[in-house]
Amino acid sequence: MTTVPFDQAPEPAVEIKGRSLWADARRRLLANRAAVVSMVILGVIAVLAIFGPWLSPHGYDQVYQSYVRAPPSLTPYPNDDAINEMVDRALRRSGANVEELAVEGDTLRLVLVGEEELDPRIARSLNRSGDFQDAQVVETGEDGRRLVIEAGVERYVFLFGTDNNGRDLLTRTLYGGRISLMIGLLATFVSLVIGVTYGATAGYLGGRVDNVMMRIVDILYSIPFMFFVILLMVFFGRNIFLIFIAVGAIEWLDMARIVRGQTLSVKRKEFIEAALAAGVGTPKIIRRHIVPNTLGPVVVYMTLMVPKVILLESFLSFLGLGVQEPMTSWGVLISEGANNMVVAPWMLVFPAVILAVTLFCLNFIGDGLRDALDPKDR
Amino acid sequence: MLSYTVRRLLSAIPTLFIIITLAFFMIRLAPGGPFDLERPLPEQIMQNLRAIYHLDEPLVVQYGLYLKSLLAGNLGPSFVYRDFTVAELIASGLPVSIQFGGSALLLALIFGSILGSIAALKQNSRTDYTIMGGAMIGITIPNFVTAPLLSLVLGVYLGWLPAGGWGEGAIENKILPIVTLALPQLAIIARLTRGSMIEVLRSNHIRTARAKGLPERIVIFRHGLRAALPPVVSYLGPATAALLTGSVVVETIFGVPGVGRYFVQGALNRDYTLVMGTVVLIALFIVVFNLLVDLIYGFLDPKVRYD
Repeated sequence: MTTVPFDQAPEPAVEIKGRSLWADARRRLLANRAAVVSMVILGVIAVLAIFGPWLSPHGYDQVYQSYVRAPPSLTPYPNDDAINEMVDRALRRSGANVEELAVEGDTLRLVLVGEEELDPRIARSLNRSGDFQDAQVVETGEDGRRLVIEAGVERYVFLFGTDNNGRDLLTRTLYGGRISLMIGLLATFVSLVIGVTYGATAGYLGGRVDNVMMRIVDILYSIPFMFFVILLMVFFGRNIFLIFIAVGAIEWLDMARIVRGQTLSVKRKEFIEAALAAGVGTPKIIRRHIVPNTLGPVVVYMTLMVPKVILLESFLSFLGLGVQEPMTSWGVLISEGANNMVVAPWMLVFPAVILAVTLFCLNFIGDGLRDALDPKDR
Repeated sequence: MLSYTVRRLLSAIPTLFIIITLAFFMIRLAPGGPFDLERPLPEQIMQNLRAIYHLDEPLVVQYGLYLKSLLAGNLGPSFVYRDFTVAELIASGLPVSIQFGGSALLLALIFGSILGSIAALKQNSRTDYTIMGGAMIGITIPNFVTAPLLSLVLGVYLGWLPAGGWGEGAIENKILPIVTLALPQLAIIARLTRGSMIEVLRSNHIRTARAKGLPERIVIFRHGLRAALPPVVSYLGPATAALLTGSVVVETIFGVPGVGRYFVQGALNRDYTLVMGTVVLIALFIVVFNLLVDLIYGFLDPKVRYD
């Protein structure tokens, strides 16, 4: 017998279209305003985290030594005052006075006047100061007492400011988001695979096997796993993959229980009996009736687990046990921010707010999915 | 009920045993040791140190020795905090942690159940949405974010409270850590209370109580809240154990001298006995509080029987 995947099955000729569980759920989910808004925001954050670090003019580990803990600003650094100061410093002993100073994009235009004839080598002292590049005399006038100099000046925008080492915080926040989200998704996936396999096996086989398997879960439940994760991180290196595996390995317990319970109850439902009576084969029953019905709570649990894992990773990073420098994650950024919050509050505020917004969105989506997939209040 | 208690305590022994064994071997198999200093100690001193603490014997023998001293109630000396035993360290930190955790728990329980009940009574009103929105914030934002943010706003900008530091345990220094500890618990308790209260308010015994003409106050507090509390109580078991044994984050940020820091510090310093001591302490708390919860359950819900 050939099986046709149900989404490719020919449309029934009748006018009335059956509503599948998922179409129904989607409709209800989209009617939930909080969930939709959360999905949009989360999507934006995810896209920014994935592509942002590539698009950013700053590298996530690029150090700007002259801009340590620069406050966030919409205008580029160095600002005009700072440029004035830099010019003054460079020309201190040249005997030239600045008559006009203009910055356009990346070029600085200086009009210098002096009591006596000015040495065109002034341009070189600008270069030597390190703040300017390619300074050139473009115009000389009034018997050499007036010089027009153009020099390149590198200007940077730090929307979120910079951190302790002078690295762009926006790029680091996006990069950290990439790591945090990746850990959240991968660890959830690990626990999903273990939990669904374990739970479905126990639930489906039933009897003594089920008893033994669930007793093991009960014992594992009473072990404070947080400790073991901390021990693992302390002793066996701060490896990201270890975090995935460790977190996934703890979190599968709930998943296994949920899937087992779901499988047990679905197994005995009338519609399974009806399907059996209608002569539907076992694989098809599992695929079309058991799996979709266990999947609802699993999907809900998954969306609620991603924020849990992100939090766990952040907690480990906060303790200094997570991701290591120069790599970063939201937890690392928050912990650095907390240490510098008095002098550089932006270092705490930006990552903390973005983490909070992400967790919020994930929770709203999880709640929305739970409401959407709960067949009780249809 | 006594036999139930005894049976529960007995059934906790294998669990405790598994936890202790796992922790013991994990720590011992880890690279590094408690006496690895920046400047290595002379070989002879190292050997003597290892001999004193029986670290030169086979691992299984050490395990046996540890279990033996544990049964005698001896947690051993700390390897890193010289001149202190693990028991002394715990004895100095635990009262502080219990005070903080206990106050936070009380705060969370009182305000959480009140707010949750209000939200349930005014279901789907603006009050309900506000309370539940606040609870969502409390649940999603971790305490390593709330702690620095609170101390930044209330301590640094507004200057109402000290931003950090222990200040010899002055009352102002205790407010922020306690509030930080309480907030997430408060939020969870409010949500749980609301959920079960909504169900309880629809039940028959509430309708009966109202039909009898009881004042609304008594209907809600004596008949409603009491029936709505079991889910909250079952949550409180592990939560209390966690709160009373201290929080690494809050203790580190606010400089509170509790026991929460010892575990991570001990693990980082390879202070074997200190780590084991904290693991035993926390495991014991979890066992005891889960048992307490099951016993309290019986008082709240007459349908529960211990057999």
